[in-house]
Amino acid sequence: MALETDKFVYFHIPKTGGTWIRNAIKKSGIICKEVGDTHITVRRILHDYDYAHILRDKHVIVSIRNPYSWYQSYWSFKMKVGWSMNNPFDNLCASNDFNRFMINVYDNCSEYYNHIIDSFLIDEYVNCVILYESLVTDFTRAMRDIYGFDCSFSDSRVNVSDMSGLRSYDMARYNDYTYGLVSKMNGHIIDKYYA
Amino acid sequence: MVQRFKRCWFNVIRYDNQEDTWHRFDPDLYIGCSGHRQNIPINRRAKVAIHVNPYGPPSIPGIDESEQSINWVKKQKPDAVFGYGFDEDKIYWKFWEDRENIKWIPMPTAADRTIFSDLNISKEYDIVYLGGRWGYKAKTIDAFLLPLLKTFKSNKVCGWGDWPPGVCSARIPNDVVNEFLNSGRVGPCISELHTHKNGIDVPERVWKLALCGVPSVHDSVPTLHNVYKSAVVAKDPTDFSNLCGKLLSDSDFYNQVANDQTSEVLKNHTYHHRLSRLLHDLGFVEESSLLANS
Repeated sequence: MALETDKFVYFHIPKTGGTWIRNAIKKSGIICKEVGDTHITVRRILHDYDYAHILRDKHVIVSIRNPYSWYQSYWSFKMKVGWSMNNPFDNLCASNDFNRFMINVYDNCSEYYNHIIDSFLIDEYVNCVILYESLVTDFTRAMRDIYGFDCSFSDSRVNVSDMSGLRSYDMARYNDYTYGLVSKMNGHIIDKYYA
Repeated sequence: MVQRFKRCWFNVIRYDNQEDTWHRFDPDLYIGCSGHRQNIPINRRAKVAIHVNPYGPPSIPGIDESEQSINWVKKQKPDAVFGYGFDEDKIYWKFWEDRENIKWIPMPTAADRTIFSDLNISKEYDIVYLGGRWGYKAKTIDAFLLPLLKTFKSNKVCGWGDWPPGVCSARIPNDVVNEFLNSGRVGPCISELHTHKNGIDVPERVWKLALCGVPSVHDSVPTLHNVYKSAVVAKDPTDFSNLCGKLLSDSDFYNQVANDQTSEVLKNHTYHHRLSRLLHDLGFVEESSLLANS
């Protein structure tokens, strides 16, 4: 669900630190309500709900993640919870080998992450993009800009795809070939947000 | 395994904890299993490979190897362990190598060419299924197979375990299994929930049916296509039924799938291939070639 407060609406792209942001918002005491499904997109909320005026009136926050680590995190998460054939992306790309997974993504769903980003980052509405890589800093700054006061948030992230103490980075290692595939698929996102 | 080795002129005996037998036979290779623990001589010439369950960073509750078994396997000082997964499933056995320093060799199920073949007999039933049903397996059988049997009345199920009344005929002897599978036009393949999620432990049925010339439809295992291009894999129970129906009604599709599956299994998924790989990875290169080329 998107999380709506009196002054902003937060949209949660999977594997971008959204669970931490949700908890941070709730712990801060800011009154909020959930709207739609867990990972409802900006495009979808505009289509399914009468939300255009609300998104224009409020700050709209979206967190994103560097594509390189987003694929690692997604795959590690699936290693933990399992693949699902009802998920079209899993259906086409599932593999228990990370590099094979990346080849499947390139062959079958190369636009998937671009499509996710495009569904959320609609320039007309979104005016605050938080990077997963600087999640706490970016979120703290956003709250200060919106509410005008400082909150302190700790970087105790939740819902990470840890397995026996290993982080997704350790579990999912690119080889030279698959590393190159990411820039082919998502180069413009990397250039725009991570140059 | 025993059949396959014997056909290639290997001497094989069953070892049951009798050291006298071991030393008289003096094997080159011992194959054991963590689920059937028998201590083996530590001072030996033989290389040792032991079948084990997953032990990896992604945990699969109820399927992972127990700590007791891990300790027992370590005491046997095996040259390698193997499990029911493909190369790409290594992550589920990763700690055997990373923590215990024991090489893991993929040993997915396969088809036995010495038993299964296309008999070119008339196909009496639209659907044939052979297998057991028990609590855990029933979750997928009930979701995928039972609705299918209601749709396609020309079916025969043989097996064991706890089947609903009127569904399963009987258990059949091993020597008629090939004939039974040959009697069907389509073979539905049911696996277990952890196979759906994790892709490991694919049952043998899908490979056997291919050698019988019977096209199969597999339940929802999204990783199966990576290792078996010709697999017909259903998204859900409705899709499962639809795909079986399509095979039964579309002869071109039927023949294409049957031919592709048979060819692919003969090329990549018989126990020749599995044992050849096992021997190769244990350092028996010549013997591996012998199996591969037999």
